[in-house]
Amino acid sequence: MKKIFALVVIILFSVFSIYPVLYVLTVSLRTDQAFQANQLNFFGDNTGFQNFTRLITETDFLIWFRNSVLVSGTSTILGVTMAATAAYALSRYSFKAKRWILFSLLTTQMFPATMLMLPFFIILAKLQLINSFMGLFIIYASTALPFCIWQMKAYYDTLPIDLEEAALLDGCSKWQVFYKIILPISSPALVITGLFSFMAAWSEYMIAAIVLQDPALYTLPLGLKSFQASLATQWGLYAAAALIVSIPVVLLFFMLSRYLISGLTVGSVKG
Amino acid sequence: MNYIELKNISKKFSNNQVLKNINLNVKSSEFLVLVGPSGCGKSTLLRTIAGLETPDSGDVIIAGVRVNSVQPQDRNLAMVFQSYALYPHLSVYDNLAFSLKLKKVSDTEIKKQVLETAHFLQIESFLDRKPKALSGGQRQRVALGRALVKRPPLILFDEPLSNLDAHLRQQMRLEIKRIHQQMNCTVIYVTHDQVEATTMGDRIVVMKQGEIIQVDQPTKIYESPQNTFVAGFIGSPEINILSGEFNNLKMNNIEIGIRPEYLRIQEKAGYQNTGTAVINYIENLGSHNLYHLTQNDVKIRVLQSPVEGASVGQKIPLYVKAEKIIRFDAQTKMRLQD
Repeated sequence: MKKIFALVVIILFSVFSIYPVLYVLTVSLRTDQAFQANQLNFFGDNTGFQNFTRLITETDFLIWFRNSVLVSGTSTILGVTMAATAAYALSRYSFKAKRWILFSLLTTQMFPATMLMLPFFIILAKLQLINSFMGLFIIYASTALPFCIWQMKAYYDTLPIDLEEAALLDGCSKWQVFYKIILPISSPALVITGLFSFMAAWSEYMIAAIVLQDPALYTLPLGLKSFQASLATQWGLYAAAALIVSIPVVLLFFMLSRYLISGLTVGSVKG
Repeated sequence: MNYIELKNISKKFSNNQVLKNINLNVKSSEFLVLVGPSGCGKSTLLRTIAGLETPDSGDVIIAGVRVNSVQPQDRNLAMVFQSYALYPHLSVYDNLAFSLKLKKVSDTEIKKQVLETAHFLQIESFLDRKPKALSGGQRQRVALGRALVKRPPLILFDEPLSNLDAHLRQQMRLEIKRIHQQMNCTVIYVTHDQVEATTMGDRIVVMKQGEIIQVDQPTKIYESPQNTFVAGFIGSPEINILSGEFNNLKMNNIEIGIRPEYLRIQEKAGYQNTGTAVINYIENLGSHNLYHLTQNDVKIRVLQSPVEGASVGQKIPLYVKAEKIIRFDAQTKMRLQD
């Protein structure tokens, strides 16, 4: 009886989660006129891959895709590199302003992104980084940094200090201890931190909208928004693009799930 | 010749004085054991020698050179940790080869040295495995191998056997002694287990609250403890420390120590009768029994081969080997000379 109940609950939740995805899929397969249909029709007179073809051939979708990969990838590498090193220092060394730094990093997470938009815009304008990827790299990496530092620090705190001391006695310098021992065994935390940074940058719209004004520099969220016109939104193209946009993130999740599971359970059991 | 000299070493963590003016010499090729209860400073002293802690004052001299400001990697020593501290992302082979690679030893020489060490410790069959695929005993051997592969003149052990079961611990005790004899290196070994200390050490250093209480050979420490703390800490079952009156000995301002094996509940040549006692409890230790007795409200332990018919509640005569009685000053707790 318990099993049947569990099964029913699981099925209900699955339907609840999958329905929006299936709906987007049907919209992407229909013409814009058929968008308002209520049924989940995958096959029929009005269905086909024309939206996907138009997306690739008639829009700048591939350019936006490339831009998004570049922006998200670079800010992830920047952010994770800085978080990994900063968190190590905060985890392993004692210095005067340590508590203050950790607290202020936490404090930055209390402000909503909208509140930071104006200062970001002013800073980037002064640095002449409006309408450039460099501006986005800096903002994405720095906004993700506090959370990433806390996450990496929490992981480093669970690593036994003996490992580092053993490496020192084996002949490592402190820098070698970090990159030969600590970094390789921190791969679960690095993967989670990287995934978090990547996803945040991949789906970010508001900051991209104030930094990027040239359509050739648009990232995917900006490109998708451009399908929305004042009189008619091209929902078919929008849905097709939305599906393709989600593919890299889903693929990353599948590829990194091994690390993800071990990373999420880090510190929960001894040894 | 002294390989290590520690001169006036002191170390404080916050307000806690962990090491108090430690002076100690360790001879070349000696197996020296630092023993004491938790928090006595033995591990801090070992880590100070390794360079993992810096003393607040005093000198650490290794092979005639003052090494206070020398980095751990340049002190030419190896250390085996309680947690083994094996690199989890590297295979056993790579764990052993790690220090040699850092020294830029050639690949062929690394292979030769790793295989020699693996053969010596009988770990050749799992060189390809990662540490997580090994048992506790195997990990301990790999940790030993990682220390030995460098052929260091000094090896430091920080409670290396405390995570093993009793059987493995005994095996590894012999293994470490064999390594010491064959490698002829200097060993400093930290333990809180007095059995390890007495069975392994050429000399034992007994520590308490950051101070060295006594340094001597195991037999001498056992037979002639400097104070009641050493007497109580070294020896299992624990020594009987008695005050008041015992064996017609009026103990004004003195306490006496008598090891359980020098007491008997049966008459035996060389033993004097010292009244009667009541058996409270009998512990079966296999070849011997430990009899817990009470005499005039004083608790006494007697270790001897099982006595037929002896049972709890029974009143029995008590005998003592009088020349083995150790006398201590009741105030200072220091041993009084005979």
